[in-house]
Amino acid sequence: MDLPVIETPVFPRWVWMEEITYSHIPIATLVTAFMLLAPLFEYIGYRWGKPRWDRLSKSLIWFAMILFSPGAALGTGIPMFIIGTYPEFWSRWANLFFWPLIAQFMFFLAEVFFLFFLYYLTWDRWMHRKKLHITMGVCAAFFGYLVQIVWDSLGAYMLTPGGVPLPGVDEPVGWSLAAMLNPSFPFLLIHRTFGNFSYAMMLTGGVMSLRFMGQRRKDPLSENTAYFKWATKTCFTIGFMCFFAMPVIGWFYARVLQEHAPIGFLAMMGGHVTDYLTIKMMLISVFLVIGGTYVVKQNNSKALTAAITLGLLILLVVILRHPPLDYFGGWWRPVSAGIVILFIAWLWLNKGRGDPNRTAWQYAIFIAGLAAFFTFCLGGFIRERMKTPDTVYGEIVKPEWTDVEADRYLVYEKWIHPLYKTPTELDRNRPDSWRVAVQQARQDETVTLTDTEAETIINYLEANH
Amino acid sequence: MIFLAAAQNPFLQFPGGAKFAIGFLALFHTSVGSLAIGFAFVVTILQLVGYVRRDNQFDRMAKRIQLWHVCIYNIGTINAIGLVFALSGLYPQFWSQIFVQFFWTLIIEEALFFMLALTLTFHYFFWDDLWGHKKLHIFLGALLTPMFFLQFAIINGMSAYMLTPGFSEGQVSQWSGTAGILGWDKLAFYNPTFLMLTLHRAAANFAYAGFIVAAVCGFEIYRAKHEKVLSWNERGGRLSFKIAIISFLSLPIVGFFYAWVLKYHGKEAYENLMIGRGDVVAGGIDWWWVKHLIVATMIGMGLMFCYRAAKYRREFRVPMTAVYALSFVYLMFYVGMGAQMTWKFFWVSLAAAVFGGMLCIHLLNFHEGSGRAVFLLMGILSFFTVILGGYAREASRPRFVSPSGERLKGFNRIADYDNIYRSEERAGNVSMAMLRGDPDYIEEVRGRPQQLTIQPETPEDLISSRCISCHTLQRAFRPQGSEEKWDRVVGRMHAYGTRLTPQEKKIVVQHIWEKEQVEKAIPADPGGMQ
Amino acid sequence: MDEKTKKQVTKDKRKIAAAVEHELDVYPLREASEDPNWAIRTVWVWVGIAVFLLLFFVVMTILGIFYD
Repeated sequence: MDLPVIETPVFPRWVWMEEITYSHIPIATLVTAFMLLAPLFEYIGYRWGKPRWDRLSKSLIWFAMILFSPGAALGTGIPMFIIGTYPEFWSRWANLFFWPLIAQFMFFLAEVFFLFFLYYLTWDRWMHRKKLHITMGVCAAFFGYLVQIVWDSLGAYMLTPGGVPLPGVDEPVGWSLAAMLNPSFPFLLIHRTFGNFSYAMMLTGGVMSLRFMGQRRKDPLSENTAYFKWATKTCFTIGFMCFFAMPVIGWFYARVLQEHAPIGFLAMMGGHVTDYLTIKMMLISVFLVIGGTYVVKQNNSKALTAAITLGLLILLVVILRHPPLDYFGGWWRPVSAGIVILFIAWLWLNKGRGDPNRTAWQYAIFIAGLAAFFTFCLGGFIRERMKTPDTVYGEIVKPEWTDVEADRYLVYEKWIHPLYKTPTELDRNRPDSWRVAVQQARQDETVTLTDTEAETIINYLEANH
Repeated sequence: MIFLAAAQNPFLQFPGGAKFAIGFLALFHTSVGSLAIGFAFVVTILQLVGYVRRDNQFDRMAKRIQLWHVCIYNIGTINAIGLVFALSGLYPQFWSQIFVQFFWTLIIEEALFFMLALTLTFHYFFWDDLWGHKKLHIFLGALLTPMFFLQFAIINGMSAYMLTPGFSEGQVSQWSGTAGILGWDKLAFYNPTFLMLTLHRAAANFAYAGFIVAAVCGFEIYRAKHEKVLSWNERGGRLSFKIAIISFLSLPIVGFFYAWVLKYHGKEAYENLMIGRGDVVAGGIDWWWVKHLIVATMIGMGLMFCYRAAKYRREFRVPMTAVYALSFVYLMFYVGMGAQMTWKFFWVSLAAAVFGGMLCIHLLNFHEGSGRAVFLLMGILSFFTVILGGYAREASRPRFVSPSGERLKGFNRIADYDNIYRSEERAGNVSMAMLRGDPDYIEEVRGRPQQLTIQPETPEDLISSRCISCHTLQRAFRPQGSEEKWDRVVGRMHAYGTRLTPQEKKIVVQHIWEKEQVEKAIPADPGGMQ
Repeated sequence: MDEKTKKQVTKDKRKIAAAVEHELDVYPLREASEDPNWAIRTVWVWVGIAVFLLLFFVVMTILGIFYD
């Protein structure tokens, strides 16, 4: 294509791309989560006759309304930036997904129409027509979710094209079912759905805890104080419990990536993106410990504690079936099991005990909420970084790819993938001479390399491992 | 299966046609976006009036309008992105190329988009929290107007460029701009009609929003059951109407200069508008005429409304001296158009204005002095003028259709510039002969001051420096088949604004034709090393 | 809608109309200290950022007349 690629000042293109995307995604995911949950909360309030649920629902929608305009404005910045800085990628990708993009535009219009005109503006007017009002909320949520479905499909394609090639610039495909229903799409969708609920509610719980503290200082006995105390507990508990679906979905998601985006999988599991995944796991531990303790203290409920126990046991199963942890040696299995079982015992011991309404706990919940938020942020970051230097995995490389990235990709593809389970084995089982090892592998025909590729791989391994 | 469609269709097809899709999306976006821009201005005026008079009726009205603004802002945003997606798929070459020339301006526009959304959100949602800081609150709302104006000016740079590329030297392919800033093209942005379009549309947006606010107030007056609510809407409607009518009366002044610039820098567009050709006449109707008939009706109605308000000393009356003076300007404008087009147009417009005035009087009398019906009607008419103005501007650009009307490859949209519609009176000569001729500066080849000026020494240099304002060199060497066809193509490019003296035009045509013949004679390299 | 709901809806509409009418009578200026601090701070910070960015973009646009 004879279009120039525009350079950006100060930072390389991909940094700006990331920043612009990150400005939009948290807002969009929060809004989507709120829109999906608000009608549910309103319905609960209506069926059980509890006005607090209605108030919570209304405040979620009010906040979604505040976020909507800036979030939408930031969202328009993403394609505008891509078109100029990644023109070939955009042309080809927009060719493939033209009709889904037009469809998501129509879903968006419908979402705005229902949310603004038929849900938010009619809240007081339709106070006594709750069923109708809730239906409008469900419609708004439905269209909002359809928008998420389209974007998750398009985003998942970038990591697992599933054999559907990115068409040429002048090949106006328009739409492809196979591209939309690509291998990792359902997993990404479900992972992000539960992830949105989880982080959004935990973060909301954290913010509510600060409001609770503020109200308590003003008037400890007011309805507002009681409401924010209840809202903190409710939101955080919902978000915390939603988390437990994530490791299971995540495990299957990773399996699909292992099969359909093996280089990306290697990058994530022991490769150049591992550190971010490790940080993500640490953040998860933070909110698991703080949040778990808070939830059992706050909700003196056997059923809830049992549910958390079950969730933690399932998490343990996922951890135990996690091959890259073999890097630590065989001892990690009993240690992990021990830690989880101890934590479960800790939770049962703390059930209903102590005062979770103390100020220290409110700050702790806020920190847990932030940890959940950053966990979410890292998810998208890892997904994007694991396929560098490709923009669409295996289909198109980013224009500003570096030699290091290209060499690393070659090493993953032609050396690690055929011979090792994870890149960490390169350091664990380092031979005396990489040159000899590569030549031997070529002789044994366990790898197929040209002379140039072999030389590149040897240089990379000698420099980095 | 994936590429089956591609094999049969050279382009993406949209039900109803690509032009319809883009036109619909663009007009939908414009009608909402223009309203948003005008709302911001009207809200500030209302808040200021309310603050000075300590009258909450105006502040409450402003809050109501700002709520609508919050609701429609998102619709406008989403439409914009739908338009971007549709353009990417349906006009990929055009969209990709224009993006390179306007990239940085569009990024600034995006930043402004976000700033506007946040300012609007704060202004509306913190309304009741800032009664102790009312001046700050009004200032926050007032910030919207300059932000909108700048954002609007930026998008108009691109829109105006599409009609009058002017002296642009967007050196996309080879030199990345003379200052090395790819994505910014000074002469493309500051093209001949950029300023006129911005000023014209700014005033039109204020008028449009004012009339729509007044129309909604009129509608609420019909619905109102209580005296206070009735009076609130009547006063709010009158103030909005005043803002609208003042802006509306300023339109012909800018409009005249806009048409003047178009005459020299967008000759074909000017001809299409004035003589009525191409897509300006669609379905047998000249939509440019229709717009001006509606405007004439609005002038009549506005004039009579202001007269009655002045006569009965109603609140928010407009000084009649100004009204009469500007109405006279409008009259002269119509006389000028009659002279260019046909006198029939002038007389029909005059009749429309008289009819509008009489209708206004009748409606005011019927509603005992209340402006409700007039507000409603003006709001509806104003909406149509906005839509038709945008449509006419876009439709006046030369169209690329087969002269015989035949479809090529079964499709009615042609992606390359092989054919252009030419009216009979210009058959055989693409450039329009003006009565007084082009001004001198059009013919003079102007170098860019203090910049590295490429002095074309060879025909290749000449082509490289002049033929890349709007497209890449790849297109400049696409085979045409004959020297006559090249003559027509280059002539068309000259009509679009490429700077070429007649001698240079000859050199270009000769060189390109020779090159095409040479390349035809060389057999294709089977090794693919081309 | 049943009769009871209809009556309730009419009552609600009357309540909303009465609230609007009352609002129209009073221009509710108040002491600056009565406004929530978080709102004031947010608005001042944003006004500062917005004015700075606006001026920056205007200057860029004007510089663009001279530079390419």
